[in-house]
Amino acid sequence: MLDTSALPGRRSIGQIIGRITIYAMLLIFATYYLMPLFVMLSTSLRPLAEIKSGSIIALPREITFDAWVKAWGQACIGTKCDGLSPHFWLTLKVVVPSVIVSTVLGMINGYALTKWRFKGANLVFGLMLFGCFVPYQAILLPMAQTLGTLGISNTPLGLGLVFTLYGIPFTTLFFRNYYVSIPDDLIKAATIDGAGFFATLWYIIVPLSPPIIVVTVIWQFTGMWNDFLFGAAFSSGAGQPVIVALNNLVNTTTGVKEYNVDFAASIIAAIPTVFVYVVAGKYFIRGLTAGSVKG
Amino acid sequence: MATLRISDIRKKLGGNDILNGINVDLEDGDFLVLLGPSGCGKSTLLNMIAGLETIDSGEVRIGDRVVNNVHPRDRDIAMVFQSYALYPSMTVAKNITFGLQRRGASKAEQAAALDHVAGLLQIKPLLNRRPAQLSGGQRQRVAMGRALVRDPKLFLFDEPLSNLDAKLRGEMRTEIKRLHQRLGSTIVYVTHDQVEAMTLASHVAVMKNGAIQQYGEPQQIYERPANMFVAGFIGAPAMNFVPCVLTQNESGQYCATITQPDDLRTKIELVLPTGNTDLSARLGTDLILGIRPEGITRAPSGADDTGSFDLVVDVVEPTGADTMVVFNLGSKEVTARLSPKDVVPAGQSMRFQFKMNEVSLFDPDTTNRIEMGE
Repeated sequence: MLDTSALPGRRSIGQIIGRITIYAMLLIFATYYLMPLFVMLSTSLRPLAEIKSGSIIALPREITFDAWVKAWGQACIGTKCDGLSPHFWLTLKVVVPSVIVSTVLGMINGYALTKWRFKGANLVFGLMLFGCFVPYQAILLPMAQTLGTLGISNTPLGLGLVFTLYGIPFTTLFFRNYYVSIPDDLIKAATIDGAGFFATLWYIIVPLSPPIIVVTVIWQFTGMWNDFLFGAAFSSGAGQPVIVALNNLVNTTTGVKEYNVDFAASIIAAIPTVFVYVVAGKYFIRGLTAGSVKG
Repeated sequence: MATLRISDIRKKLGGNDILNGINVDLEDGDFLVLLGPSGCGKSTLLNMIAGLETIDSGEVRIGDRVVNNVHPRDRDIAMVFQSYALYPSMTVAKNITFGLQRRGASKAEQAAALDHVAGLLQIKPLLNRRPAQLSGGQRQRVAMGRALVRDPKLFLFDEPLSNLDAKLRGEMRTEIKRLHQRLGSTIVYVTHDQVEAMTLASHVAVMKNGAIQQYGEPQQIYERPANMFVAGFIGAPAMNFVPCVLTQNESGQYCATITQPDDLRTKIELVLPTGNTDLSARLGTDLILGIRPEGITRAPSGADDTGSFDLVVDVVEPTGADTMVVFNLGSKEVTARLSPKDVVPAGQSMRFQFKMNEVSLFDPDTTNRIEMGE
């Protein structure tokens, strides 16, 4: 990247004003975008009485974690008052295996579609792509029926199956597009060296894949974690994933609206996705822009 | 080490003939170069020998075994790719021993083989690096190491030097030649570079449009090209083709008579080394005279008229060791490779002489060589 500030030449007044303007703009927009998070955090740390009296932008006068404790373990969702925690753990239990299975299957698909091309591979890929474009609503009824027939309605397994199936077209697309840029000669060399389909995948392809694995995992994890429609449609009661539970928690009104609990619950529900981005974010950009793998 | 016998191999792809009945016979220790322009089917043929592409009809035999339906892994071959195809995630050592490991060789065997090959190719200091940390020439060596380590029956090289710069290419060429001399392995080598073909091969198959145009020893192909395509493909600068008419002089010798495009329609009569060949059927017909740039010399002073002629030099291109001199002969541009001390400046006239025992004669319709006796 060219560092324009390090280029030779005199600084004029105009340039300095330009700099100041740029940083001022950046500061304004950064504040603007961070404001909601700030409000959520500060409100979640206030006692309810303060929320009713004070301005929502001001810093909390008194910091209390009561709202967090309540949101995690005591808030009422529907008729049960166990907080978000059971739904949180349930969602993790559904999402983690679904992410792993759909990513692994997408990897194998992408690898087969690019490196072991068979007759009709393009057609198969086209049909899989089609899966990316099928609207969620269109598969609700057939899927409900399928889950009923399989006897796994309103179970973590059933929800995981839906997530996995719906994820495969996307993961396949990601891996396929990444593997297209890996030279075919590598596969030929491995074949002559005596490696078969899975040995080549494991020893040659997987070690080249971390960037796209990260992209896929982030994509799948956030998509599944934040899903509302499938969760609302295919589960109920204690089987609801965290986002559906959050919605119900916020909508369960018994007397006074507890904004601090609502905000704390929202942040709790968002933590895992934020965590995934923070841990793997730098690979995310790298993976999205990664081009050829030099042989 | 083994023999390789390819009989009547054919391949069609989408209605196009990719390979059109290829026959090749290699003895133990032969170095075959498949030479041709891109799209001539040479890489396809190599992939078929490797087992990476299917064979429509015909037979590939390595040693005593027909391998048409044998998996590449079991053909006991090794291949060096143009892109080197080194595994990016593995160290050099892992790259080289991967094939052994897949075949279940013990750690000790792998280490011994690695040590031997690394010594042979002088890549011992590189063993713990990854391919991305190597220069082009080093990657090339590692790719060869990966092929050598298994001591296969047959080596396949797919344009291994074309990604290297000119100097390195020359060095690696010598290296490959030295390795071949030392190991005596059977090698099939694909290239579009005629210099590689000439320097490395014990046999060259010049290919075009999925068919072998000529198969033979390099020198034979150079001296007696089977047709104008082969003649033009081998040698740089390319062979000169001059239109001429077959005539007979007073003493009954066959001559190639070239008509200059000047006002006088000057005729240049060159006596052909026809020996006992009877070309009477072609008397008076148009032919193409092929003469290599190095087959044209400056006529010594006092040379007689036969076979030498005065012409004006058009362009002079010094290359250091030799100087290329371009002049017009029979309305064609002809290049001569002369010693710098023989060259006159452009625009001046000089006396040229053809080494008539080195010329070739082609039929302009079929472009095939017309054989002349010794």
